[in-house]
Amino acid sequence: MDKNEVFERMKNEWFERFEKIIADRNIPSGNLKCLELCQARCCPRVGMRTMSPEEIGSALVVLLPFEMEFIIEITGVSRDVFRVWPVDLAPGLTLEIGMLDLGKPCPFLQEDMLCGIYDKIPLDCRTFPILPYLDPAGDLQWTFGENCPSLPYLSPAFTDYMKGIWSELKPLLPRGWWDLYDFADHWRGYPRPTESSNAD
Amino acid sequence: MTLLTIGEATQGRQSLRMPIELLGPNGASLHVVNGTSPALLRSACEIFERVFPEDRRYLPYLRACAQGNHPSHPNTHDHVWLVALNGEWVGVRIFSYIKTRSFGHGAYIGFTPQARGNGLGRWLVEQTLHQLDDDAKKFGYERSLGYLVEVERPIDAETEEQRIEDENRLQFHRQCGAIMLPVPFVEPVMIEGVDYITKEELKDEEPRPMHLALIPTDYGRTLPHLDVVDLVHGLYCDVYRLSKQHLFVKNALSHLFK
Repeated sequence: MDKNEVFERMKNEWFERFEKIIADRNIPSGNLKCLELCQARCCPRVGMRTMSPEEIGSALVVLLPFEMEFIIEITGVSRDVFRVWPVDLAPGLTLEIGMLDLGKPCPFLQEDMLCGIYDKIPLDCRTFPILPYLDPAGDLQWTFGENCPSLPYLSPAFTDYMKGIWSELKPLLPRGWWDLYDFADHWRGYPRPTESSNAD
Repeated sequence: MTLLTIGEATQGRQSLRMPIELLGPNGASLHVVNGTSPALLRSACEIFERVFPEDRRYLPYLRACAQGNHPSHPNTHDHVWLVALNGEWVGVRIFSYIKTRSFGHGAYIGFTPQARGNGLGRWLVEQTLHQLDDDAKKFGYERSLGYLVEVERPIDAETEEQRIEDENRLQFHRQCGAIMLPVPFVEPVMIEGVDYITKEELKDEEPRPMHLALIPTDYGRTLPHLDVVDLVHGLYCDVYRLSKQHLFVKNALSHLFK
């Protein structure tokens, strides 16, 4: 099987997973009070550049493998809106992971601070403020976005449900992806976006 | 191998201001190798050859680092340490503080097979971090962030045995708190412009893709943000002495600036 076939098969499998997650109507409510308590603190946007670290929930979104391609396909958005980061699977075999950050702000955040693709939202956004990570032994662990104003209201049923999704995905995600996900919040100094079409 | 030169090690370290612990787990001890002790340097070379037989061509690098401030390493203050256990040399450590930055570079850490699994590696990493903190003060910084280390990627291993070895090495660094920098990093064959190894001697060497990780100090671990550009420039430009326009430097950072 050549490289293109490998990628095509992987892409199809990931697309199926995304469709399954989107189609699931039994997701428990997160009980998050985003509209009441928050001004999109977890959606990377230009206005965050002037905010203090305590005011920011999360300054970036790391997409799953092929999630960028999936979002491009279902929304028609340009690939240029994403930062694309390589994760090597093997010599000559590299995944391109999509990210949104302060240099590539979320193109789906509307002026009313609502998400323009809420029913097809990326898993990292859907899961926030639950943040998975791998410990040194490679076991899945959890932390929480402490600057999320809704954190005290987070529903245990929703948390368990999301942990279940991540647990299913864990064996499918290369360690390089986890390293990227883990490091993402350590970054600073993103270049300024050339244009800002998102809410500020 | 018997410690015939322990007296020289003691003499050497008396003149140094060292925040490090010279005694480690299970009676292990740490010995500073420097230009005043030819016997210790010989022992360091011997243990290096035993632990890193595939890298013996880099022995001149060890000798240069033992000088502390070698002219071919204008931006680093270098350290070579030996570890003794039960009267034998069992480990070697080579690392540098980057004088122009607030972090260091860990080049080598290794032990003989019989000394592994005793917690000596973790202890040696802790002492390295202490030393770098001390160096940071010496060179005008309040404290050190930690040090960068290049680690073989298991995905590049050509045999299963090699892959397991690479996994174990990576795992060791992860257990030491490594923060993996997800930049595409290629390890240069040697520092540019050194006067102790010729290009001819390294003609069979190729640059290799590696993982790049930061082993943070307690202070480095608490920082909410790290400057990836500073870290990459510190290693490539100040340690390896590549230009900021070098392909390796540009490739490592290209995804950040697209």
